[in-house]
Amino acid sequence: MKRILRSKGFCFAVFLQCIGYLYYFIQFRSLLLTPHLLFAGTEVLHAFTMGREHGIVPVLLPLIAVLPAAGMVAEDRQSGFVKMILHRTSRGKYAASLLGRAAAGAVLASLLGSACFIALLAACTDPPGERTAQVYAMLQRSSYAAIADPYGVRYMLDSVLRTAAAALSWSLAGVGICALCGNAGLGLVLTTALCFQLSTALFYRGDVLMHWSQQSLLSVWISYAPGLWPMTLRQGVYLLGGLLVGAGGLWWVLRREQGVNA
Amino acid sequence: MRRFASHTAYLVRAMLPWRVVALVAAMAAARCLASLHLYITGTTLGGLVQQVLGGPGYDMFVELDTAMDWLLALMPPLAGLVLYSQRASGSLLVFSLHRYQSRMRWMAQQLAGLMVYTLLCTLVMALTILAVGALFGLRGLHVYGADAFGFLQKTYAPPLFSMLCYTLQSLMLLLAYLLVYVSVGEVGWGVLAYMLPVVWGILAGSNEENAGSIQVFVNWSIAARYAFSEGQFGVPMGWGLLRQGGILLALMAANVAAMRWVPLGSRRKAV
Repeated sequence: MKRILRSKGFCFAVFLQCIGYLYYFIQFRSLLLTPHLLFAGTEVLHAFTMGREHGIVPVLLPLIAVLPAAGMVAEDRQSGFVKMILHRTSRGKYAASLLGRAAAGAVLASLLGSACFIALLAACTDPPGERTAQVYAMLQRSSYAAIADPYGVRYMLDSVLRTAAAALSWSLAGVGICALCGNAGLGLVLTTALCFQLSTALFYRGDVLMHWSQQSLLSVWISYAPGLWPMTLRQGVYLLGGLLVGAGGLWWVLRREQGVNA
Repeated sequence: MRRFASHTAYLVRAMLPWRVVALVAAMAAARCLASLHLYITGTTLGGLVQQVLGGPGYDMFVELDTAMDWLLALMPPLAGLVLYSQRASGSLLVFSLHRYQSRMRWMAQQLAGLMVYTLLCTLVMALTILAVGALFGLRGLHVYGADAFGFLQKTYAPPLFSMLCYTLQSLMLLLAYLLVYVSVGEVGWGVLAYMLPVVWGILAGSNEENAGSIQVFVNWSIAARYAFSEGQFGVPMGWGLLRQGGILLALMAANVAAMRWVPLGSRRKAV
């Protein structure tokens, strides 16, 4: 865990998660000329909703997921560490530790990045008022009605946890892809390509499949959200897929490494 | 000159071995299969190449999905370069510099190799798209475009222009990747330098009702953003290509300049 927290990739992933939400504000305001107006006239709940719906988190998601720890398996393979560690421990235990590290790194980076964004909003935006009431009214009319509260705390928590869950799924898939490539950089690019491929393929295939795409799950507008349980089910499928790719890739690679070793 | 050319040929072979060719082709085929044009009756092979390599056109309601779609099309050249750059400018860089005798000469050679690499990647992608299209029953390398009087005519120019623009766009982004990777030594930063300009360009410069969309420089190498006839909204062809060339030269100069200050002693293998 110390190796993850101290890595540059982890800090970079936290930064990316924060930038992913902030992008909406950066593109419309001139940061150099009027930095004090960055959040002018916004309130925490409203600004969070804008960042979630119009930010670029879905594009940066594969980077947030893979950078903290998913590439470690490729580094271990390149340095020959895998062969040594397989003398001391079983394949299953080593694979579980790799998957656990990648998952923990991605989830922590995502949560920390989101927390930084919300803390920034809390420090820089206006106190809750009219705009918060508008978003609350919108939440009450949508699929989020069950968890709606006047300050939108539960809605924000739900969105943050969903983003972390998506990062978790892609980090697990990233471990498998990095293991198969044997190169962390290529693993990063291929995981990103796979994420975009899946998202694009689903997004343009009608209303039903569109709601399965990653960007639809993470940045769907409040009024169009298909429901909390259907969204959870879809994220569960992504998680299962990520686990299958991760475990499958590791199983294949570690089996070969042990075979070569023997 | 002959020595430079033979070194460049050697570099291109190192950048684009057969396994990378296969990877680029596989990624291009996957992108092509996600294209809706493949399933539209009446689409020609040329039309498919134009759609996949030509990028997204102007649209008021462009969202993140369009940026992701265009990024997906731009991913294959990056995959090959990531593999090569880690090998070439990683821990082996010090030894390579001994052979080239100067950092500038090494970088100039890399840039020449990169240009040929990008061109070859575009060719591999175009051939793959044609093969996938042919498997789906598409025929004809032409597209139908309106002439000066508004009549539809067979033309071969738009697919070729799309290939040229795709080469320029990927070269610009690969230069940005190389600049960041060589300076920082982290693939993650490099990939971000490749992706963010595309996302920014698509989200900020797609509205045809905003005249400022033409000024978004990242889009000057997207074929679908060019104006092919008088009065059409878009980037004027000569104007756009000239400025795109200027951007490429500036990025090359930045790469050469950055190479001067790279601390080779602290270079480590990292993501």
